[in-house]
Amino acid sequence: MFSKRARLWLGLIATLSLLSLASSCGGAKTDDNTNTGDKSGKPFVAKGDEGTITGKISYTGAAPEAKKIDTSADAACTAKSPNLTTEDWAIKDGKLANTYVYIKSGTLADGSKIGDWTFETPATPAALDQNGCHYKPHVLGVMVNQPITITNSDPTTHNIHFTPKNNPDWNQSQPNGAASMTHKLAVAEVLIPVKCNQHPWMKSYVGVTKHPFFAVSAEDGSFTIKGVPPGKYTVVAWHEGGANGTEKTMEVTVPAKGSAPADFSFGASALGQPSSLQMLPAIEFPMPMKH
Amino acid sequence: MGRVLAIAIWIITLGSVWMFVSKRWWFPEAISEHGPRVDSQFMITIIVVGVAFAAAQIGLGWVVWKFRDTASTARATYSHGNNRLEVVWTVVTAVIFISLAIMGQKVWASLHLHAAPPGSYTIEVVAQQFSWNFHYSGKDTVFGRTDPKLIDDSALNYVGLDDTDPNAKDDSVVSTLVVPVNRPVELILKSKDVTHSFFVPQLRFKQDLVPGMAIPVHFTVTKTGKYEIACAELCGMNHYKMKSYMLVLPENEFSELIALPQDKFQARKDELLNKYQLPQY
Repeated sequence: MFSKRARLWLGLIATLSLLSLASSCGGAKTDDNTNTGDKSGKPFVAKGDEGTITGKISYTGAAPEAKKIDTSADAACTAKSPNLTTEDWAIKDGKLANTYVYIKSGTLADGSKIGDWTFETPATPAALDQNGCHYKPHVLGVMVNQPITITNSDPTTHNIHFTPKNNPDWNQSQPNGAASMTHKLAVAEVLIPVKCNQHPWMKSYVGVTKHPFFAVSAEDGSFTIKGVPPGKYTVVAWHEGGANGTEKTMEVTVPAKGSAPADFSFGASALGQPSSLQMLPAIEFPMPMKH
Repeated sequence: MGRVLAIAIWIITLGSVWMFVSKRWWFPEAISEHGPRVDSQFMITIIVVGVAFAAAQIGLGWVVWKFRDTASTARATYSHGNNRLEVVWTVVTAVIFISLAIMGQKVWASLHLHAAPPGSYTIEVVAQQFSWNFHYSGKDTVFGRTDPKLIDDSALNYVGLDDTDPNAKDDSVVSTLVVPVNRPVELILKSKDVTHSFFVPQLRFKQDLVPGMAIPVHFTVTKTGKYEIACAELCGMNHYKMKSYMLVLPENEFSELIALPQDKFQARKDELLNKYQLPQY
């Protein structure tokens, strides 16, 4: 049916196509949390000997002052939040809030890797509210494919814009009084910046993991990660301060039915230090023309 | 039927002319030094094209009336037209429009192509989807260094101001344009993302902000008050909400404001924003 030359070309094209497909599918895994939310691992079943990781996030040095936000372009924001301030450094009595802490990788007591297991995605949605022209909460942790309910409690239009690296971009307008929206993120990603295209000061971060071992530090800097199977883990604390955020890493051993401490400290020296996390770069606009 | 159509054409023409002549829906008051010149140019243009429009429509109505369907059995004839007439009205139209363009470019070029007069106060304008940022140089009148890599909206560094630069210490970036009255103002227009357009109708001034370019323009405002700034270039989904205000202050109030340090500039600006009201039309 085909000439010898045609068969040769067809075979070559098929081989090249298969090779390119194989190379595109073979993404390198850098840790146990960067894989997608697939269910290829073994389902994790709690044995009853799980422990916790608890700690406090401190800030050393002079705390950066919160700046008052100029909301005058939107009278609705000014009326609802006349004294709105920046939230990038939420420090009280030397304790740092809004720090995302999670298990990046590790080995369970039975020798298996944490990434070998799959964990049930909670059906309960996480909540992200636009209230007073800022996001509540400022930092949110969810599991892969966990629904996030997004509400607009303000008398003005917001435009919620997830700007992920590994998940699809998601950009939705939500007028005042509109029904809440639900969004899911299918790929683990730490952390996804969320912005409002309408109010440039509004920023939030969403951490997506394939396991439930994450927490966000409270106002007093404390956090607790519950239900952690005994084992040795690399725990990361990430804060948005710095050029691309700043992260601190710690090796933690969780005993059976016990609690492992993991205190982290951020400070002025960490400001501007590039993180190993790959956040989206800032928008660049070259200005070649001089006045 | 031809008579009805001809009368309808004349009525529509009359109504259209009346809408302009009556000035029931007219521009807001001009508040810039060049505003009256723009209005004068507009008036000349509208009179010329208005006369041409009215003449053409009256002529159209006359033809519709004259050559309406009648009981006459005369056959329609083909007319090739009149070459001399075609040449005359094409040349006359060209001369009129080129003359208007030459007359009009004078005032436009004086604002866009000529350097700002000495003593102008310079403000950098950085537009982004969907808000305006106005960068003031502070008491030292020298702008601090900016770097796109330092842009961090959540930390309110909308223009990438380098806090380590001594010249940046007294700089302020707010969402309101504040200018002095009767003093030339130079704006350096920039965009972070897409094309926007700076437009204040009372100023009789509009200029695009093009990403990658710093476009200097200048004007002088002659009346104090508060005016709305609109983005006049469709820049995205929330373009309709991209607005801000221009505050025109007496020289003493303005000097007092721009001498304030960063932390007090914004609060005082907000006070002034509440003090002045938008004009009512």
